[in-house]
This record gives sequence, structure tokens and C-alpha cells, in this order.
Amino acid sequence: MRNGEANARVESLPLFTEPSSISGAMSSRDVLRRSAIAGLSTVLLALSVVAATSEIYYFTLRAEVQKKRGTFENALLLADQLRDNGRLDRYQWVTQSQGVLRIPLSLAKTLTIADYQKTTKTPSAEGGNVITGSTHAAIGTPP
Amino acid sequence: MSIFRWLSPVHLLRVFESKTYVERIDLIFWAAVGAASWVLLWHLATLARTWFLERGESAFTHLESRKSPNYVAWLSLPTMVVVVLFWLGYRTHLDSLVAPADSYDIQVLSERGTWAFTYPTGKRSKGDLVVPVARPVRLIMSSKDAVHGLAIPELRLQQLAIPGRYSTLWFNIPNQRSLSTRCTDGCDPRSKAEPKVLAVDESHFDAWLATNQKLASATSVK
Repeated sequence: MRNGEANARVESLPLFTEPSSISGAMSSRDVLRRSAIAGLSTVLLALSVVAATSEIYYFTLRAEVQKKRGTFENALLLADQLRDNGRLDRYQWVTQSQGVLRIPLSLAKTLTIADYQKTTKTPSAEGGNVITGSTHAAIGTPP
Repeated sequence: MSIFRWLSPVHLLRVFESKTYVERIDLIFWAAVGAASWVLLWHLATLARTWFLERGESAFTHLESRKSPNYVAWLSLPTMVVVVLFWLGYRTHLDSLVAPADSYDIQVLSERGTWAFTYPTGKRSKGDLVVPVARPVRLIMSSKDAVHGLAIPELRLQQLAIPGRYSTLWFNIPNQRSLSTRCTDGCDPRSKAEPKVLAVDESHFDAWLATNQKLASATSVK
């Protein structure tokens, strides 16, 4: 009779109760289940707090930059926008009359490093960003 | 003016926003010190009451019931104070991070504890930092060798110059004056390179930019 009453009382306990009052009456399976739920909730809560903090920081910083400078000069965001527009991954004339050409970023990196290595061996007056005859030879004639 | 206006959070926020950066930093600092002292005094007073009046009975028993008004007040009031202080500090921090669009950019390069300032005109100065008054000035800082820190205590500002990356610092000095700086990181004890910040008016600043004149102080420019 008394055991039955005790079990009924334990079943009606809420999820989070003092461990000392329930651990004796709970099966190991229940302890495991509740520990898993508690652990998972903790991890999810921690992740949400980190994500929310980061979002709030980003949002408020962006608002501050827009208020003061009109634009959001985040280099990473700018690169994302340029990539979305396809400007970092394609060939394109910037001004055809002057022979200024847009090339994919990956190729530009390779050429810049090659130019740098060349200039460190034999210093020349050529700037790293100038598209030279050798550059045209390397990337082919623009379409 | 009604007292209720002063109790309004919107009004207090407006008053706060109208203050200068230095005034805001000081206000937050003293508010934090005040809040901490108040908590300390509360504890000391409670302990004193236990020791001298109640002769050993715990003065904290009234906090034991979680439904008591004392318990609620003890939790919620300091929480509100901390939230308000955080928000004011965070707004001020954001303000110090982002320079206005019309700021005057000066490149700052540190090397072995010395500072070199390069102006948009190409002028390079290794002495004092001369800036125009009443105009936002942004320092774009980097370092050649190691991390060096520059602080301008009177403006409550400090920033690190780090090799391979840029950090910024901005300020607006409203009138002609001369401010001292301190080295805060990577200081070379042999070099006493702590340049002054000389704020001079626009015409004198332009004249200084055009010549190789060396300024002794902000007020020596005639």
C-alpha cells in the first residue's frame, strides 16, 4: 500500500526535481533518459545563446556602420556579394579601350604570386597589378 | 521640468547619447563602481545587523523563501542595473568601433616602440601626432615588428598596432590642446617614444601639412 503510494507520487514529479528525492525511486533507464534530455537541452541552449549573441553583435554593428558611413564595408560580405554577382569567377572587360580586364580571383592570385616571385628574383619597374604581355600569354586572348 | 521626465528611460537614454565619448565612459565607470559599492554596503549592513542586534541569528533568513519580496528585489534590481550598464557600455563600444564617414584618415605604423604617422597628402611624421580640431580623425594602425599599444588617456582610448593587420581608432578633439600618450604594449624601455597628440585648427593644420615645420605644442602655432 505504502509502496504503491510512493510510486504514484514519483510518477507525478516534474522533469526537474531535486536529484536526492528522485534518484532512489527511478530506474536506471529513466535516469539515462532524463540525463540525455537535460544534456541535449543544455547543448542546444548554449548553441542558441552563442548564435543569438553573434547575430545581435553583427546586426547592431551593421546598423552602426550604416548609420555613420551609409554602407557596410565588410570585406567578407563584399566578397560574397561580388561572388554572387559572378564578378570574381569570370572574364569580363572593365574598359575595353584601355585594355583593362577582369579575371577570375583564383587566376589573379596565381598570377600575383608568380609576379611577386619574379620581381623578388629580378626587381623590375612593373607593378603587381598591371596586366602584362606575359599575363595575356598565360590566360589567353580575352573573348 | 518634471521629475517624472528624469525617471523616463527614453529621456535618460537621450541625455546619455548627447554626451561625449569621454563623459559616457566616465559615467559608466562611476555607475559600475557605485552599483558595486551599493551591493557591498548592503551586505555589510546586513552582517552588522546580525552581529550587533540579532546576536547570532542569521540576517539572511528572509531571503530563503523564493516568493518573498526581498528575494525578488535582490534578484531583479541588480539584474536590471547590470543589463542597463551593459547596454550603455555596448552602445559606447560600438560608437568607438565605427568612425564617421567624413573622418580624416592617418596611417600609423609602429616599429620598435616608435610611431610614424603618414597623412593623406603623403607627409610623414615621426614626431608628434598633429590632428585638426573639431573633426573626426581615424588612425589606421599597423606594426612592422611586434604588437605595440598606444593609449591616449585623456580621450579614454587605447588600441593595438598588430603586424599583418589593420586596427582603427577614432576621436574628435573639440578644441586646440595637447594630449599625452602612453605606450601600453611592446614598449621598449630604452626608447621614450610617447608622442603627443597636438590638436590644431584647420588653417594651422593645413600650413603644417604643407611645410616641414615642427610643432612644440598645440598652442605654439601662431
